[in-house]
Amino acid sequence: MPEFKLHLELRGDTEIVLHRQFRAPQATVFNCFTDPDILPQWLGCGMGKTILCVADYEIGGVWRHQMDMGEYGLFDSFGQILEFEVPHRLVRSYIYNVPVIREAVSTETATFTESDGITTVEIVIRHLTKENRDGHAASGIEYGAGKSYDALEEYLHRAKTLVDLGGPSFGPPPPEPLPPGIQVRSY
Amino acid sequence: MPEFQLQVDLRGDTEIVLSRQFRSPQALVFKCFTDAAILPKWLCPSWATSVYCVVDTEIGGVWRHKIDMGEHGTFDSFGQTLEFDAPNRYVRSDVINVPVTREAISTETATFTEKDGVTTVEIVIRHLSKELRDGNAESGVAEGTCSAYDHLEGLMAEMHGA
Repeated sequence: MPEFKLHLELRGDTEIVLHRQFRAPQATVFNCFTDPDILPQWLGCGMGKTILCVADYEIGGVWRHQMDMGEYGLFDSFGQILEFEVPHRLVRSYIYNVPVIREAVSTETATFTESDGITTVEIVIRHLTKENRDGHAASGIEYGAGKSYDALEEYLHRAKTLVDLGGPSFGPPPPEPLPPGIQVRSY
Repeated sequence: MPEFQLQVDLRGDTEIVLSRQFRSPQALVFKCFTDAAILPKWLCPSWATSVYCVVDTEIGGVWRHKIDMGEHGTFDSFGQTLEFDAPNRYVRSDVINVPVTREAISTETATFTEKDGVTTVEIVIRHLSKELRDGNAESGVAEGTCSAYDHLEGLMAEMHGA
């Protein structure tokens, strides 16, 4: 059983606010949310397999994450970095790469705070319209994000256990070769 | 005197709608709005200098335009191409690269239609909130865009060899 769980709240007409705690240092949690080598280890709503994950943390730099969601098809999202302040805060634009929905651009502001060994992550997702926000809220975000954060809690726990046992400091496993036909484009 | 005028409407709580006609073929107008080699010639005020202008029209590709406005500082904006259907329509995200303001992202949907040799451009700018929309509307967007479009009208007349 996970120690903490996701809290989701609708705020005003256009915002979704996510809250989740992790028993890990703030710098570690921040790193897990931003390192493209670590993100695929936990981000995938419990079912996605990462095909491509890149991020350029310059202001205006592009991030992109493509996941194979099995029977649900390809999940492709991208955006730009708008603010990046290690290990406190990340603001980015978020675009779901599907025709029509692509125009429903949102911004995500993530803030990280630590108290008594517990790091709290707050993510404010701001949409262009109430319709976009309500659509996003009804799309299964609570289930998907909940699964992802539970997977991150487990990842952090495994990492800590390995370090406690005196093993090698925990890093991502070597990347799997990309399937043929997938081009990594450097931005 | 320019032949046509810019129309600016506020629509709903979050949108600004710009509409302008040009006596030029739709393909040429679309090109002038999307070609990084042409944009600085009309979008950059005559008293300022375009530092660089890049446009990647792939979905997810980045556009960026930086203008040196002398004593008024630097105007740096960027975003991503979200739709690109030449010569009819493009959609892009738009970010003004200034701290805090950077979070006030907007989207621009531009559509181009031609009738009797006159091309109409409609640009719908959609903001995240009413406050951001009203702020943009009061920032002089109408005046700045108006003179840029007048500039473009003259530029296209030259391109016709008129």
